[in-house]
Amino acid sequence: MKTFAFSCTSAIIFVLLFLFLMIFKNIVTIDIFTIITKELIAPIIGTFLITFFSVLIATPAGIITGIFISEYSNGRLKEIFIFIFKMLSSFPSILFGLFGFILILFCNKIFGTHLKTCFLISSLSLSLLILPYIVHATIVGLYQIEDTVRTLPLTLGAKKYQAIFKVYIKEAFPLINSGVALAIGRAAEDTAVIMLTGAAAYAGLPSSLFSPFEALPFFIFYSSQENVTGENIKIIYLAALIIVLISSFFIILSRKQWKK
Amino acid sequence: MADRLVKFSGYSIIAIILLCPFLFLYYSLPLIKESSLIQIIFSNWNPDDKIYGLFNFIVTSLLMGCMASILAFILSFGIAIQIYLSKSKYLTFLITFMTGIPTVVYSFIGLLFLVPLIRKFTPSPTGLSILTVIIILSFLIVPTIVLYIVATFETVSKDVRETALSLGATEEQFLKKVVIPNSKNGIIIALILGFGRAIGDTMVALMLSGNSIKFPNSLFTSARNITSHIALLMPGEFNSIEFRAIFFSGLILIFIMFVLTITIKRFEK
Repeated sequence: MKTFAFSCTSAIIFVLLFLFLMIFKNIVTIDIFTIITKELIAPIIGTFLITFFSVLIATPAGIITGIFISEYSNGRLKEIFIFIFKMLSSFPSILFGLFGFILILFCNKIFGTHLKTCFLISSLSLSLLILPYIVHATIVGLYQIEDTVRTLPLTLGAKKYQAIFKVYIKEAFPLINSGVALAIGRAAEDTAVIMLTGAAAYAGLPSSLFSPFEALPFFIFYSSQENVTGENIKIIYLAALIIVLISSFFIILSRKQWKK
Repeated sequence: MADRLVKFSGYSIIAIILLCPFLFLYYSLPLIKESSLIQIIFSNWNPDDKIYGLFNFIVTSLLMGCMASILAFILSFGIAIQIYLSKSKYLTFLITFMTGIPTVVYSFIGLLFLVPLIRKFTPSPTGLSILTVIIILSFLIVPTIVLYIVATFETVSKDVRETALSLGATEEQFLKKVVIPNSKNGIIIALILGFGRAIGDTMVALMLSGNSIKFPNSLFTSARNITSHIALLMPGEFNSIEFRAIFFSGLILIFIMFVLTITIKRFEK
């Protein structure tokens, strides 16, 4: 059993080492700073903006939904709601891309607008993708509050919403924080959603909410479909390294806080 | 007032989520009217003859999911045992780090290194084959499975560890005779979670499977799964019936995930 465990572990470590060796071998020979400021600036800022906006939408929505589920619903209904969000978190990301696309069709039909795939739609669909993580974190955070803390504000005459928004939220804050960190990591790495809803090759920086944009994962995708030779491949490696570091950083941060 | 506001927003967000499958259904209705449900599910994709069957893609998805999760499971089981026995922080860190690697990076690396290898050593002419996808997918889902199995091991062993060790069992015997038999449910859930992630992934199959619409006869042929079918149809013309197939594919994915989530719920008890 020990040999089996050891060989499996060494296999995975070998693969990861190989991966990083390749990345480093390719990016030591290039001028990182110039490439970042020239070729990768639009994807990096695009990733930053799209992540920021989707988290900005999803965080309040997720916290409110979490509070609603854990404090304002009970019994069978609560179980069903939790099940819905569990299912939502298992959905493949491309479904959220499709959802964004349907949103466009729906708006154009009902309100007569001329929406196309754009930044706003992308951030809305991404926020739906990360919503279940924040909801789950809020529910768990509220669930683990001790009974004494739970009843104290009520005995002092606080109303239910006062108790929730002034006391419980602060108790649940570390876990919510960890949920948001996970959400940031997931939003930054996702490709399928933005591919369907608004990312475009060579789009540059988004000029408004209704224009297409570039993002790092999508940049890796289209560049590797076009040409993987010479200098270009090194740029892709650099993009890959940046996105891996960003999303891993947030996911590890999230897990550390969750463990506490 | 604040109570009502919370309730209102909670209900509306959940309503939006519940509306999704119906919107998918609504937009795929023209396709279902054009050719019957049975024809869509059990025939091959042939838009020139007005047959919009998704059978090949469903089979490919399931095949890739099954093979990748089995392969990943063998690997992850070993890693989970290693983490449990050694209690290594670095290894846990490494696996957590792996969860943050985007799928597009895996597929890019696969495109550069695995595809030439497959081209050289197997009968696949281009190197873009089901086997390539399965190998990369299995690396993708390893962290999901490992972290879940380790968590299960820890919860199972928490209460009885001292007892077993004081009776003279070594850590390894304890793991083999007590922990693993008792964490069967957790292991099955981990496997299902991995399977779900493998089926739902878009980029790996899109970039490495070659995307031919043929039936997956062998591991070395090129094939297309449901998710990459959606991505490939996307640039098409919206008004065509063909385009509606992407919404039906979405429905199929929702159905698969629904079944998986219910199965997980069964095993959680």
